[in-house]
Amino acid sequence: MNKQTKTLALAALIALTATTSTAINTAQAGNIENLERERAILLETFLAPDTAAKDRHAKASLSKRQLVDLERVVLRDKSLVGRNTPAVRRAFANYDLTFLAHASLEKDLTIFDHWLQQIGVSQQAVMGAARRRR
Amino acid sequence: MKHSILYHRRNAFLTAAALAISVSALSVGSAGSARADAPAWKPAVTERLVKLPQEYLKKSLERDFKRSALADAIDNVEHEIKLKLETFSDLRNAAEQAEGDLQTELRHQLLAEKRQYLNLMKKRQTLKKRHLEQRRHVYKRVLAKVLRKKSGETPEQLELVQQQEQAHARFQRTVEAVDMKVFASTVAPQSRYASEFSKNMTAANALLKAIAAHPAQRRKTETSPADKADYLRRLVAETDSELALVGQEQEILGYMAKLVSLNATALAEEIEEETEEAATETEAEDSPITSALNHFIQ
Repeated sequence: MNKQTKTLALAALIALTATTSTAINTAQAGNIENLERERAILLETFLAPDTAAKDRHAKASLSKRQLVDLERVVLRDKSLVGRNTPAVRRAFANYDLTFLAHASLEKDLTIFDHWLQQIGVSQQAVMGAARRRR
Repeated sequence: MKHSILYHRRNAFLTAAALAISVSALSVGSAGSARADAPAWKPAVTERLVKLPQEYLKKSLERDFKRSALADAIDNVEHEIKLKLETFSDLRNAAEQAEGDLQTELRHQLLAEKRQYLNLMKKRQTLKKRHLEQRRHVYKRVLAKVLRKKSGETPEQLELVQQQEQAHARFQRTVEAVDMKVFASTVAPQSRYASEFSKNMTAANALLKAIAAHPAQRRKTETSPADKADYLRRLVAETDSELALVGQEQEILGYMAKLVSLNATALAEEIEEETEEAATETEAEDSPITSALNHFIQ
């Protein structure tokens, strides 16, 4: 193989690598959005008043597993490192609220309890609340 | 005979004068010798060059240089120098074997060839210096761009990176415990992502081990610093030392020119002495007193 062919082969390889990495970065751009969507679905499941307890439990456990995976995808995504966008900044500003599944399991709480604790709603506060018109 | 001696004498004087000029020109330096039509190498400091991994940066620049007119000019001069060195040994051997006028002629030719060799060496040094200065300029510009990028990180960005590092560290600390709680407590199997990720991770670890054990990788990590800016600073320093060597070579070339000039002067004086001796002999032969004396003695 002469020098020119070698150079061309190397250039093609570098170009291919660059294309692949660009494609991966493009594909990973919505990881945070996917995580936020799944988290919203899980919280909606917890908060929906007309859902039966059995259905809620089934939906929540399915969603929880999905959430664990999505949180890992975001935490392992190297393309997000230093990406100074509002979505990324917000996501990493509060680990406990963004990575609900991991943070709750770390503290040995259910996801819903952990979420309520994070937004400042405790069991005592709910029990002690008086029902009145605003 | 007389005419030939006078011819050599004139040539030797001319050579000596030319060499004296060459010596002074060499000592002045090559600052004024750069011309607009001179072979050039103008590498562009592109974004691609800045982003290129450090191990390819030097190679890419050298490849670009080899394609330039300046590299061709250096190659041509080096080829001419090689030929000139062969001519030296041929002429020296011939001069040792020759006698009389032919020897003087060959010695004169050897001096002229030496002068041409010195001119070629000077040209090579000028071109090499131009190459090294251009290379240093490129390295400095790439370094400046790398440093500008590094310092271009805003406090917000730095804070974000810090938060991301903390999040990752926290995740790494708890990942196994989370796995145990989520996947071991339920009857459902691992998700597709989790199983594929662990498979890929095993494969990636095997590849990383192979990369770390590769001899080329070991050599690379031993020689190159981790930081790109440090690597570029080292390249600038290497180029500076090569430039210092070119400066030293110029000094040596100056001494060589001085020596050739002294040789030319010596040859000119030798020929002059021979001419004077011959003239005295002729004058003696032509002296009327001597011829008369001979006549008287006879």
